Amino acid sequence: MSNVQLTGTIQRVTLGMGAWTLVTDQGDTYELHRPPADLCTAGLAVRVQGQIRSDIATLAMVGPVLEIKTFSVTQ
Amino acid sequence: MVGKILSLAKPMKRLLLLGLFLGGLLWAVATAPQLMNRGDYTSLLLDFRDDLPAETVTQYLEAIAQETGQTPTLNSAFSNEQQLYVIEGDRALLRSLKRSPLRSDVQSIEPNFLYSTQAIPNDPDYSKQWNLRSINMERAWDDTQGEGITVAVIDTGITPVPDLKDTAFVAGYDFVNNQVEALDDNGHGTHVAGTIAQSTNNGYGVAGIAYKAKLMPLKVLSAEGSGTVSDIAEAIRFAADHGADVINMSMGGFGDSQVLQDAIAYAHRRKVVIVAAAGNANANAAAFPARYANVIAVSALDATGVKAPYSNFGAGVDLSAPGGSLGADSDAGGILQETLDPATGNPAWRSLQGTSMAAPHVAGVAALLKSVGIEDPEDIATLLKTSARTVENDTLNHYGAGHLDAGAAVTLALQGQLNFRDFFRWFKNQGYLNLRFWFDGGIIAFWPKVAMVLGSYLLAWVLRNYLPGLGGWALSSGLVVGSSGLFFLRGLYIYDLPQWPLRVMGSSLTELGGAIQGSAVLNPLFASVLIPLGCLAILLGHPGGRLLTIGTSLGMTAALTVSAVLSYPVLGLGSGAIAQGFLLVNALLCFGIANLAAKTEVSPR
Repeated sequence: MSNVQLTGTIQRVTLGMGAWTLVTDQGDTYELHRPPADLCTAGLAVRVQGQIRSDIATLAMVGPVLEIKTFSVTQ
Repeated sequence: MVGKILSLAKPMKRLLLLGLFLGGLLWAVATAPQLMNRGDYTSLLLDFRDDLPAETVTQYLEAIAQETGQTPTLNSAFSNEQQLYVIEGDRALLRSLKRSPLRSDVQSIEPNFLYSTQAIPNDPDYSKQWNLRSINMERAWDDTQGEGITVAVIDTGITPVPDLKDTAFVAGYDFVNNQVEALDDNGHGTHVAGTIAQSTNNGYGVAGIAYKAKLMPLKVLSAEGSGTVSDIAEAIRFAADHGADVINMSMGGFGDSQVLQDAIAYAHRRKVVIVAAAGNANANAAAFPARYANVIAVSALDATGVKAPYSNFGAGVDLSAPGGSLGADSDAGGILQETLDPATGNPAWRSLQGTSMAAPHVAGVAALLKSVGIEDPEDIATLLKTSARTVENDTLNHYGAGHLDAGAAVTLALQGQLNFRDFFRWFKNQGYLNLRFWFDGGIIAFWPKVAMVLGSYLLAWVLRNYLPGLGGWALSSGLVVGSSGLFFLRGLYIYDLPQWPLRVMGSSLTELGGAIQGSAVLNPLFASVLIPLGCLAILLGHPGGRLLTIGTSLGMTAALTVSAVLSYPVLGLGSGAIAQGFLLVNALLCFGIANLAAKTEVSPR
């Protein structure tokens, strides 16, 4: 369970029933674990602090699972 | 004495088994075409005699209309000359028409069978399932639909939507909410379950791969679509402990877990086939649990057979299957199943994409392989891979062993297995496609033949009980030749060759007189005590000949008795009481000959 700080854009992926992701400025994709409702807007640029949950499996399987602790919208 | 009787039991047993085998073979052949082709019908065909005056036909039609409330109509504009009419009706009407006075004025009254191409389901949206066509599904359905197999779907649960109405379920468990009922609150699990076993041939919705298999819903992912490794591991063990044959896991994560790995090893030891999605990160390695040993990792193909852009590939990928690829504003390239709308909980049709959709294709085909008798998960994995359509120059291992091919996998599984379907297919192909021979099972009166074989066996058993020392193949051969002959040969026709040699070989001695001409009338020279008498005179001096005489005489006793009971016609005597008396008297004389020969001691030469 490692803590990370990331900046990127919120995206909705249409894999399986769909999932919310953070695509970082470096191009890496993280799947958001139970994201807060006000974060779930496609195209939202954000800075987030959270934890990588390697004990969680998902149906979207698009990248490491990121549980958000705090976030701020950057634009 | 006891030892002698025991030593006699063996050849008698062989004879009985031979009789049963021949009987079983003939029964299979005689009934197979009807079983395989038993059609549906909702109307009947009335073919009036061509020479019947039109007024009489009209009278009949009016009478039928009065009786049934509907008037038969000409089958087509071309049916007038043949006087071929169609009337809506069922088995009951068919029976009553056949018994009516009408029967003397028609050439035939028969069911108007509905012909359809086999194995194409009647589900209206089957045409949208490019994914099932691309895995050669119809060929596999010819042999199996997954009967007797249980597939555990470890996912978000399963909700029994309308197109799962005819699908069987076994009890599962909801590890998220800790309850027995494992309903879906996301839609993913129900969609995955649909690919495996959507109700098929129900005139509704779409088809599933192993639609006669049972589903075991195991909910480990929440409504948001995520769950813990510990719940997944417990679900795997639950499935293995509760009779699951196949586990599908359309989920994955990025963390290695010893608990999960142990659970997989446990299920594998219990002979469960485990299939998992490779993951959707377009990354060069399968996700967990797909990448573990003993898990078949499945990458996703689009509708053109190319790796879907999202699909993981490379290390760990064993096989590829349709996962779909959705366009920006079209869902035609996805995998269509009925699931539920998570917002409302109501049934909904969804076309989805993902390796989540690819894995259940493989799980479904694994269920089909298990249902045709392949037990070991290693064998199933090997069959899936060996039968896959290989992709040339797959340097990045996008496809593993290749594209999943359900038809080829099931065919390969059945190779080397002796089974009825295989026999029938061989029979059909040899007989009807290559046109080399033709078999008419209906020509042989089957049950009388079985009665003759069993009757001769019982007579030999009776005789043996008070005259020990009878047995061996000479006796058995005599019994077969005397009672029934190699009767299945009578129905065999080889194109362009005369049939009489087969008829002769397929006839018992009793029937031999009429065999060359193909007549069913018994010839009194053959259907009498004359042959056993001749055998007695010629063969009695030889120990083997004596047994052959006994066998032949007993066989003919049975054949003549059955012929008498069934009033078979005898040349010159008709088929009435005189013929029956003649046959019965000769049957008794034959038994007397057998008895006489059995009591006669022969000194070994």
